[in-house]
Amino acid sequence: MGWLESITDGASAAWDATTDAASRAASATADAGSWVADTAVNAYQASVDFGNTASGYIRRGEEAVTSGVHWIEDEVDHGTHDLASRVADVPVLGTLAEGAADAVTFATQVDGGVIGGATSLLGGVANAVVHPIDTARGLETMAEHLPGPVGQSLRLGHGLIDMATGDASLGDVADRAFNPLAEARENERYWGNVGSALLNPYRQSFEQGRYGEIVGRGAFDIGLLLSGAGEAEAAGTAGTAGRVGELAEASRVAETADVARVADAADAARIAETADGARVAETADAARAADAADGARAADAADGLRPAESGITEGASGHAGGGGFVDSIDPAAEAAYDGIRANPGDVANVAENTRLPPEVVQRIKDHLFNNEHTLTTVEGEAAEQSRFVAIQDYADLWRGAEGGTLTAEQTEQLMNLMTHENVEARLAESGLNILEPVDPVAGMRPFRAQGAHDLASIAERNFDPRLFDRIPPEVRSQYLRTMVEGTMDVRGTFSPEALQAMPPEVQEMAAQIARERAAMPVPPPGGVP
Amino acid sequence: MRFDDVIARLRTVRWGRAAAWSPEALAWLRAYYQRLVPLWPSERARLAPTDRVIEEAALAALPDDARARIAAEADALWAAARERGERVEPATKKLVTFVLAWARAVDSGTLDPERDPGAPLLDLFAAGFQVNYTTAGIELHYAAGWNIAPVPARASFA
Repeated sequence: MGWLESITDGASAAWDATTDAASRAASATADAGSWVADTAVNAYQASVDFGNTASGYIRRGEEAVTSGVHWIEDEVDHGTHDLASRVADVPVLGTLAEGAADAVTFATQVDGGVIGGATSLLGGVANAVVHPIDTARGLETMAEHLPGPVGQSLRLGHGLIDMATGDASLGDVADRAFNPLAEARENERYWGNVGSALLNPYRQSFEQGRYGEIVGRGAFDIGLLLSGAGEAEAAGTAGTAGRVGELAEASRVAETADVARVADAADAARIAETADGARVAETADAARAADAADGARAADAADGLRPAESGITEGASGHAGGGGFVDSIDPAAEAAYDGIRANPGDVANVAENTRLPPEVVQRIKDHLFNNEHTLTTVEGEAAEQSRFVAIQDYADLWRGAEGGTLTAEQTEQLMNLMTHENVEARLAESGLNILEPVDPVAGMRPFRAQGAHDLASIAERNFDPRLFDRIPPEVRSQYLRTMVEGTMDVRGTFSPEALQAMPPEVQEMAAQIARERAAMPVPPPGGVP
Repeated sequence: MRFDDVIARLRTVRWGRAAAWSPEALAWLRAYYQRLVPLWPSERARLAPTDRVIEEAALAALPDDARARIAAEADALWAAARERGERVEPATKKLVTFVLAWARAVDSGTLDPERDPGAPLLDLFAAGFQVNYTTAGIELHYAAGWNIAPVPARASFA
């Protein structure tokens, strides 16, 4: 357990550093208007007392702690700013009081960031331990993109280095450091595109305006990296079971680090001890990603350079299914997907209720729920490895199919979904990209009718000629058979009316496949109509 | 817009039959999300277009008779669309029930028409676009294809 002791020491050191910073902020506050700070400290202590009293009732889990920390931060924020507002109209004093209130809020958020770092210990550190230097560089880049004087100073320093090495002009440096519009644009672009499991907590803190949390969380993570990186890296290659035990052990670091100052430390420890399977799996996934020599991508995500330089606006790289950037659009749907993944018996039941071959149902389940895919994000950029984002309606349809409880309309939706996923899976197995890359100018995935998703959507719509005509001839000649076969896997043979509405070459392909399948010794597949 | 006017306008919609793509479609989608902000939980960085949070906000407060009327009107719309050979996406169907629910709220005076999230959706549908939510993002369908928008972030509307 030597590495644990190192982490403990490191965490304690990080904690000391952050509390020192908070104390300095409080001192500055006192200079500006001590009565505001005193009141804030009282409010802060009251919040802590509330947190300790309520801790026994707090739901175990990281979200609960995060919510609790945010509640405390917000209480302090509201309390101090409410007091400051009372003197808002007093020249000088009003400004000072507002500044002091900001400082108190910021210091509280620093503490909150440390708590956040502790509660998401494995999720945050798993990638970082593999590339500690890149991570530290990435954290500095993050700090540069904090609104206000801290980020401005760091950007100026960075810019001066660039100017000295000939990589930037004085005008570039001045614009980047002092032009508020350029700063705002760059910050929005940077934080809007920061992704990966490691960086999401930072991005969420930024989106919620909790800038202090970024500093606190960063200090905590750096503390861990500096104190136990070597041993932690070895731990990162250990088996999943080992990591579960280490998670429980590591959680007690938070207890040692006196995190009870903001929230109940025992809760933080219990969170890790009761960590659910999904969280463990998430951590294991991160470790596997690192083991798979995907470090370059992680490093790029960590320093935020590639997304920031891509020119993509906030949403463009944050699209659903686009490489894990938004793997938690809907927490309830993600939990439902976890349940589906953990259910080994559903394939047989879905197959029975839909009359689809079990191997087709298994392929669809693997494609939609289980497997990671290579998903293209930004035009010209490397693809991301990720599961699809969870969609509640899909989970509901799947579970309804398993239980045989779907209405006629839902059954129609299910069969469209099954057709889409089966065709898409088969096209992906053929080597076709699933998603069109995001057009960096439009900030959208344009319809090109070339990727597996678009082609599957065309098949799902019975090869609507208006859509089919958009498929480039070379794509059509290469993938038409797979599209038609994948559709017939689910729908069986087409009705005469449906066939008549299809383009002639689809009709011919469907007829050919139907003949081949009719000649086979087993009956052709096809689910409920 | 009042409920009866919304129904009348929806009856004229040809679902997903816009002849060509228009950037206005994306602008209408963004306007919808902009008007969701008051009911958008701060802890949810992103919301699917038909997220249950939205569904509950739109439908929970309605009396049973209002819900029944909305369901009946929607069923009539989908039956007519099927007659015309138009496929209506599941997400669009849900959004239409939201549009109708908010129209009822406008009628009852509990929702300011200027803040009605259904209004930009109605414009989107009336222009011949429809919405589909998939693993690729939010698809905006027109007659000869679709473009896929990312799920917007709450922070971008602050």
